[in-house]
Amino acid sequence: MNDSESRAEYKIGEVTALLEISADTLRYYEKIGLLPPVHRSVSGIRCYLPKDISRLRFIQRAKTMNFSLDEISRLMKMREDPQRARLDVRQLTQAKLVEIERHLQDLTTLRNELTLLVNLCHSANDGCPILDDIQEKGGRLNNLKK
Amino acid sequence: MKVQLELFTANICSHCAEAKNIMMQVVEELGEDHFELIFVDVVESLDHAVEMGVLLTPALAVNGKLSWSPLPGRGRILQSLKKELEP
Repeated sequence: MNDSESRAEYKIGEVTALLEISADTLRYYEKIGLLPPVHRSVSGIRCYLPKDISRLRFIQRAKTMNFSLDEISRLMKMREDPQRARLDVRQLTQAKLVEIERHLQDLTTLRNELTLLVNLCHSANDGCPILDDIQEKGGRLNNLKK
Repeated sequence: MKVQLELFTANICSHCAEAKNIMMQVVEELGEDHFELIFVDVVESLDHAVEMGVLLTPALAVNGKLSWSPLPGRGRILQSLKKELEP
């Protein structure tokens, strides 16, 4: 965590910059209860705490896995209080864990495929024939489509 | 039962042609009847290569298990394959 992330409070503009998330989205998450009511300053300005930033990062990660906001909301309950989470929430968490494991395996395979291809390019004496070949094939396919 | 050798290569790999020659020589020296030597083009069979754990070429799998990636020198291969033939 760098200095800007170890601070105690963040204004909404700082959170949008830090997490690349719109202010409207932040307010929406709060409105639907995905984020607990955000602490306000005396003048009524939203002040996001580190735990809010942590929750938002969790939401973002879950969204990249295409989890719905409803699913994320239930997972948040598990995150907040795992011992008291209801059975259906625990089951959902378990199911999502399996989904993530599968996704990780796919990513690992993709990483290994790309590693092999990059290594092949490095071992070639003249440029990267694989990429040239792919581009040539792509060009031929495009010509056929025309 | 024959020892299955899969040599993973690619047309563009600068050491792969040499590796093919070495493997053919080694198999000839140890007895062709004892080995099944298969050449696998990693670009053509990318899924299989990755499944086997090949990240570099040339690579060699012995009886379905990746043994070297990349391949070592002739002497080490010869020594190792001799052990495969031991009862």
